[in-house]
Amino acid sequence: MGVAGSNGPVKNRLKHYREEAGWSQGELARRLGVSRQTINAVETDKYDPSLPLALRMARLFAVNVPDLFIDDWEPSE
Amino acid sequence: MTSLEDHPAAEPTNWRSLAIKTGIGAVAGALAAIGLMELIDSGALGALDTSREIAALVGMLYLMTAGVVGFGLVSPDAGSRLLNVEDADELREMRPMLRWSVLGTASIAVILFIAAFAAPAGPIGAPVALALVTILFLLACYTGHRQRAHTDELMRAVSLEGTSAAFYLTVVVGGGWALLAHLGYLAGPEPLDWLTMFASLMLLGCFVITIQRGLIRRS
Repeated sequence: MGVAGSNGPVKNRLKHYREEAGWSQGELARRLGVSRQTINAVETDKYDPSLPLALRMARLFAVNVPDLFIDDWEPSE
Repeated sequence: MTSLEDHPAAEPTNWRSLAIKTGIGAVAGALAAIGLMELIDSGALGALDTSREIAALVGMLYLMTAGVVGFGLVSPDAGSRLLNVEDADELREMRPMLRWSVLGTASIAVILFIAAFAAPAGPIGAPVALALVTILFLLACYTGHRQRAHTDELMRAVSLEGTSAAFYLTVVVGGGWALLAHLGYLAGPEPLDWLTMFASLMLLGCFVITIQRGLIRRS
Protein backbone atom coordinates (compact mmCIF):
# COMPACT_ATOMS: atom_id res chain seq x y z
CA MET A 1 0.00 0.00 0.00
CA GLY A 2 1.53 3.32 -0.98
CA VAL A 3 1.59 6.23 1.41
CA ALA A 4 -1.14 8.75 0.69
CA GLY A 5 0.28 11.83 -0.97
CA SER A 6 3.59 10.20 -1.85
CA ASN A 7 4.77 8.93 -5.23
CA GLY A 8 5.04 5.29 -4.24
CA PRO A 9 6.40 2.94 -1.62
CA VAL A 10 8.86 4.33 0.96
CA LYS A 11 12.50 3.19 0.89
CA ASN A 12 13.61 0.73 3.53
CA ARG A 13 16.67 -0.95 5.00
CA LEU A 14 15.07 -4.33 5.55
CA LYS A 15 17.61 -6.19 3.43
CA HIS A 16 20.49 -4.58 5.29
CA TYR A 17 19.17 -5.58 8.71
CA ARG A 18 18.18 -9.05 7.52
CA GLU A 19 21.62 -9.73 6.11
CA GLU A 20 23.22 -8.31 9.23
CA ALA A 21 21.21 -10.83 11.24
CA GLY A 22 22.37 -13.58 8.87
CA TRP A 23 18.86 -14.58 7.89
CA SER A 24 17.55 -15.60 4.50
CA GLN A 25 14.33 -14.09 3.18
CA GLY A 26 12.61 -17.38 4.03
CA GLU A 27 13.88 -17.28 7.61
CA LEU A 28 12.69 -13.70 8.11
CA ALA A 29 9.34 -14.56 6.52
CA ARG A 30 8.95 -17.49 8.89
CA ARG A 31 9.77 -15.34 11.93
CA LEU A 32 7.25 -12.69 10.86
CA GLY A 33 4.55 -15.12 9.76
CA VAL A 34 4.36 -13.83 6.19
CA SER A 35 5.31 -15.23 2.78
CA ARG A 36 8.79 -14.97 1.27
CA GLN A 37 7.13 -13.10 -1.58
CA THR A 38 6.13 -10.36 0.87
CA ILE A 39 9.66 -9.98 2.24
CA ASN A 40 11.01 -9.82 -1.31
CA ALA A 41 8.40 -7.25 -2.33
CA VAL A 42 9.21 -5.05 0.69
CA GLU A 43 12.97 -5.28 0.12
CA THR A 44 12.60 -4.31 -3.52
CA ASP A 45 10.28 -1.38 -2.71
CA LYS A 46 7.30 -2.97 -4.41
CA TYR A 47 5.19 -3.11 -1.29
CA ASP A 48 4.90 -1.06 1.89
CA PRO A 49 4.00 -3.35 4.79
CA SER A 50 1.08 -2.62 7.09
CA LEU A 51 1.80 -0.73 10.29
CA PRO A 52 1.55 -3.89 12.46
CA LEU A 53 4.04 -5.71 10.21
CA ALA A 54 6.40 -2.70 10.13
CA LEU A 55 6.29 -2.58 13.95
CA ARG A 56 7.05 -6.30 14.15
CA MET A 57 9.96 -5.92 11.74
CA ALA A 58 11.41 -3.06 13.79
CA ARG A 59 10.94 -5.04 16.99
CA LEU A 60 12.62 -8.08 15.50
CA PHE A 61 15.71 -6.08 14.59
CA ALA A 62 15.54 -3.98 17.78
CA VAL A 63 15.42 -0.70 15.85
CA ASN A 64 12.90 2.09 15.50
CA VAL A 65 10.50 2.08 12.55
CA PRO A 66 12.08 5.26 11.05
CA ASP A 67 15.45 3.45 11.08
CA LEU A 68 13.92 0.72 8.95
CA PHE A 69 11.66 2.74 6.68
CA ILE A 70 12.73 6.03 5.16
CA ASP A 71 10.27 8.56 3.82
CA ASP A 72 11.73 11.77 2.42
CA TRP A 73 8.42 13.61 2.75
CA GLU A 74 8.69 17.04 4.35
CA PRO A 75 5.73 18.98 5.74
CA SER A 76 4.86 22.04 3.67
CA GLU A 77 4.82 25.50 5.23
CA MET B 1 22.89 5.35 10.23
CA THR B 2 22.78 2.81 7.44
CA SER B 3 22.93 4.16 3.92
CA LEU B 4 20.60 3.10 1.17
CA GLU B 5 23.47 2.42 -1.22
CA ASP B 6 23.14 -1.31 -0.77
CA HIS B 7 19.49 -1.12 -1.60
CA PRO B 8 18.37 -3.86 -3.99
CA ALA B 9 18.68 -2.90 -7.62
CA ALA B 10 15.91 -3.56 -10.08
CA GLU B 11 15.79 -7.18 -11.17
CA PRO B 12 17.50 -7.61 -14.56
CA THR B 13 15.29 -8.94 -17.30
CA ASN B 14 16.11 -12.45 -18.50
CA TRP B 15 14.69 -12.10 -22.01
CA ARG B 16 15.37 -15.72 -22.97
CA SER B 17 13.50 -17.12 -19.98
CA LEU B 18 10.71 -14.58 -20.45
CA ALA B 19 10.40 -15.45 -24.16
CA ILE B 20 10.28 -19.19 -23.39
CA LYS B 21 7.57 -18.76 -20.73
CA THR B 22 5.52 -16.45 -22.95
CA GLY B 23 6.00 -18.71 -25.96
CA ILE B 24 4.89 -21.83 -24.08
CA GLY B 25 1.83 -19.97 -22.75
CA ALA B 26 0.94 -18.62 -26.19
CA VAL B 27 1.33 -21.97 -27.96
CA ALA B 28 -0.61 -23.87 -25.26
CA GLY B 29 -3.34 -21.22 -25.29
CA ALA B 30 -3.60 -21.25 -29.08
CA LEU B 31 -3.75 -25.05 -29.23
CA ALA B 32 -6.43 -25.20 -26.52
CA ALA B 33 -8.48 -22.48 -28.24
CA ILE B 34 -8.19 -24.19 -31.63
CA GLY B 35 -9.21 -27.53 -30.10
CA LEU B 36 -12.23 -25.99 -28.37
CA MET B 37 -13.32 -24.14 -31.51
CA GLU B 38 -13.00 -27.36 -33.54
CA LEU B 39 -15.27 -29.09 -31.02
CA ILE B 40 -17.80 -26.23 -31.10
CA ASP B 41 -17.71 -25.99 -34.90
CA SER B 42 -18.35 -29.74 -35.18
CA GLY B 43 -21.85 -29.08 -33.86
CA ALA B 44 -21.52 -31.76 -31.16
CA LEU B 45 -22.40 -29.19 -28.51
CA GLY B 46 -25.30 -27.64 -30.42
CA ALA B 47 -25.47 -24.46 -32.47
CA LEU B 48 -23.58 -22.04 -30.26
CA ASP B 49 -23.53 -18.29 -30.95
CA THR B 50 -20.59 -15.94 -30.47
CA SER B 51 -21.47 -15.16 -26.83
CA ARG B 52 -21.37 -18.84 -25.96
CA GLU B 53 -18.12 -19.38 -27.86
CA ILE B 54 -16.42 -16.52 -26.02
CA ALA B 55 -17.72 -17.76 -22.64
CA ALA B 56 -16.29 -21.20 -23.42
CA LEU B 57 -12.95 -19.68 -24.46
CA VAL B 58 -12.72 -17.71 -21.20
CA GLY B 59 -13.63 -20.93 -19.38
CA MET B 60 -10.74 -22.60 -21.19
CA LEU B 61 -8.42 -19.78 -20.03
CA TYR B 62 -9.48 -20.38 -16.43
CA LEU B 63 -9.07 -24.13 -16.84
CA MET B 64 -5.57 -23.69 -18.27
CA THR B 65 -4.65 -21.36 -15.41
CA ALA B 66 -5.85 -23.94 -12.90
CA GLY B 67 -4.00 -26.63 -14.84
CA VAL B 68 -0.66 -24.82 -14.87
CA VAL B 69 -0.87 -23.97 -11.16
CA GLY B 70 -1.97 -27.55 -10.42
CA PHE B 71 1.03 -28.79 -12.40
CA GLY B 72 3.23 -26.53 -10.27
CA LEU B 73 1.79 -28.11 -7.13
CA VAL B 74 2.43 -31.62 -8.36
CA SER B 75 5.86 -30.80 -9.77
CA PRO B 76 7.24 -27.64 -8.13
CA ASP B 77 10.63 -27.85 -9.87
CA ALA B 78 9.13 -27.88 -13.38
CA GLY B 79 6.22 -25.63 -12.39
CA SER B 80 8.51 -22.90 -11.05
CA ARG B 81 9.88 -22.49 -14.60
CA LEU B 82 6.40 -21.71 -15.90
CA LEU B 83 4.85 -19.75 -13.04
CA ASN B 84 5.48 -16.28 -11.60
CA VAL B 85 7.49 -17.47 -8.60
CA GLU B 86 11.07 -17.13 -7.40
CA ASP B 87 11.79 -20.85 -7.15
CA ALA B 88 10.29 -24.27 -6.46
CA ASP B 89 10.40 -23.69 -2.69
CA GLU B 90 8.05 -20.74 -3.07
CA LEU B 91 5.53 -23.05 -4.72
CA ARG B 92 5.95 -25.55 -1.88
CA GLU B 93 5.45 -22.81 0.71
CA MET B 94 2.32 -21.60 -1.06
CA ARG B 95 0.91 -25.11 -1.57
CA PRO B 96 -1.83 -24.86 1.12
CA MET B 97 -3.20 -21.68 -0.47
CA LEU B 98 -2.68 -22.76 -4.09
CA ARG B 99 -4.58 -26.01 -3.60
CA TRP B 100 -7.74 -24.02 -2.86
CA SER B 101 -6.92 -21.55 -5.60
CA VAL B 102 -6.73 -24.34 -8.20
CA LEU B 103 -10.07 -25.71 -7.06
CA GLY B 104 -11.72 -22.27 -7.13
CA THR B 105 -10.29 -21.40 -10.55
CA ALA B 106 -11.38 -24.77 -11.99
CA SER B 107 -14.88 -24.20 -10.53
CA ILE B 108 -15.19 -20.89 -12.38
CA ALA B 109 -13.96 -22.60 -15.57
CA VAL B 110 -16.65 -25.26 -15.31
CA ILE B 111 -19.31 -22.64 -14.51
CA LEU B 112 -18.45 -20.87 -17.77
CA PHE B 113 -18.48 -24.14 -19.72
CA ILE B 114 -21.88 -25.08 -18.29
CA ALA B 115 -23.28 -21.62 -19.06
CA ALA B 116 -21.89 -21.79 -22.60
CA PHE B 117 -23.24 -25.26 -23.28
CA ALA B 118 -26.61 -24.87 -21.52
CA ALA B 119 -30.05 -25.02 -23.13
CA PRO B 120 -31.71 -23.83 -25.25
CA ALA B 121 -28.81 -23.83 -27.72
CA GLY B 122 -26.58 -26.29 -25.85
CA PRO B 123 -27.04 -29.88 -24.66
CA ILE B 124 -27.20 -29.20 -20.88
CA GLY B 125 -30.75 -28.76 -19.62
CA ALA B 126 -31.53 -25.48 -17.86
CA PRO B 127 -32.47 -27.03 -14.45
CA VAL B 128 -29.30 -29.15 -14.47
CA ALA B 129 -27.21 -26.14 -15.48
CA LEU B 130 -28.73 -24.01 -12.71
CA ALA B 131 -28.15 -26.68 -10.06
CA LEU B 132 -24.56 -27.33 -11.14
CA VAL B 133 -23.67 -23.65 -11.41
CA THR B 134 -25.16 -22.98 -7.96
CA ILE B 135 -23.10 -25.79 -6.42
CA LEU B 136 -19.94 -24.68 -8.21
CA PHE B 137 -20.50 -21.05 -7.25
CA LEU B 138 -20.81 -22.05 -3.59
CA LEU B 139 -17.68 -24.17 -3.98
CA ALA B 140 -15.80 -21.20 -5.49
CA CYS B 141 -16.91 -19.03 -2.53
CA TYR B 142 -15.79 -21.70 -0.08
CA THR B 143 -12.39 -22.09 -1.72
CA GLY B 144 -11.94 -18.31 -1.61
CA HIS B 145 -12.70 -18.39 2.11
CA ARG B 146 -10.22 -21.22 2.69
CA GLN B 147 -7.56 -19.47 0.62
CA ARG B 148 -7.85 -16.42 2.82
CA ALA B 149 -6.67 -18.40 5.83
CA HIS B 150 -3.40 -19.11 3.98
CA THR B 151 -2.76 -15.67 2.49
CA ASP B 152 -0.70 -12.91 4.01
CA GLU B 153 -1.16 -9.16 3.74
CA LEU B 154 0.60 -8.74 0.37
CA MET B 155 -1.63 -11.34 -1.28
CA ARG B 156 -4.72 -9.79 0.31
CA ALA B 157 -3.67 -6.32 -0.89
CA VAL B 158 -3.13 -7.57 -4.46
CA SER B 159 -6.45 -9.42 -4.36
CA LEU B 160 -8.30 -6.38 -3.06
CA GLU B 161 -6.73 -4.05 -5.63
CA GLY B 162 -7.33 -6.59 -8.41
CA THR B 163 -10.99 -6.82 -7.49
CA SER B 164 -11.24 -3.05 -7.43
CA ALA B 165 -9.56 -2.79 -10.84
CA ALA B 166 -11.93 -5.46 -12.19
CA PHE B 167 -14.90 -3.42 -11.00
CA TYR B 168 -13.71 -0.30 -12.83
CA LEU B 169 -12.91 -2.33 -15.96
CA THR B 170 -16.44 -3.77 -15.85
CA VAL B 171 -17.89 -0.28 -15.50
CA VAL B 172 -15.90 0.93 -18.49
CA VAL B 173 -16.28 -2.13 -20.76
CA GLY B 174 -19.75 -3.33 -19.72
CA GLY B 175 -21.13 0.11 -18.98
CA GLY B 176 -19.70 1.54 -22.20
CA TRP B 177 -21.11 -1.32 -24.24
CA ALA B 178 -24.53 -0.96 -22.59
CA LEU B 179 -24.56 2.79 -23.21
CA LEU B 180 -23.62 2.40 -26.87
CA ALA B 181 -26.36 -0.23 -27.24
CA HIS B 182 -28.84 2.05 -25.47
CA LEU B 183 -28.00 4.81 -27.95
CA GLY B 184 -28.52 2.41 -30.84
CA TYR B 185 -24.92 2.25 -32.06
CA LEU B 186 -24.59 -1.51 -31.61
CA ALA B 187 -26.32 -4.61 -30.26
CA GLY B 188 -26.43 -4.82 -26.46
CA PRO B 189 -24.58 -7.42 -24.40
CA GLU B 190 -26.33 -10.76 -23.95
CA PRO B 191 -26.87 -11.96 -20.35
CA LEU B 192 -24.06 -14.50 -20.86
CA ASP B 193 -21.75 -11.69 -22.01
CA TRP B 194 -22.05 -10.13 -18.54
CA LEU B 195 -21.02 -13.40 -16.91
CA THR B 196 -18.08 -13.65 -19.28
CA MET B 197 -17.11 -10.04 -18.61
CA PHE B 198 -17.16 -10.57 -14.83
CA ALA B 199 -14.88 -13.59 -15.16
CA SER B 200 -12.49 -12.24 -17.79
CA LEU B 201 -12.18 -8.74 -16.33
CA MET B 202 -11.45 -10.22 -12.89
CA LEU B 203 -8.48 -12.03 -14.41
CA LEU B 204 -7.45 -8.90 -16.29
CA GLY B 205 -7.82 -6.70 -13.18
CA CYS B 206 -5.54 -8.95 -11.12
CA PHE B 207 -3.05 -9.13 -14.00
CA VAL B 208 -2.97 -5.32 -14.34
CA ILE B 209 -2.38 -4.86 -10.60
CA THR B 210 0.35 -7.50 -10.56
CA ILE B 211 2.14 -5.67 -13.39
CA GLN B 212 1.51 -2.27 -11.84
CA ARG B 213 3.07 -3.39 -8.56
CA GLY B 214 6.08 -4.80 -10.41
CA LEU B 215 5.32 -8.29 -9.11
CA ILE B 216 5.69 -10.01 -12.48
CA ARG B 217 9.05 -11.74 -12.44
CA ARG B 218 11.16 -10.85 -15.48
CA SER B 219 13.23 -14.01 -15.47
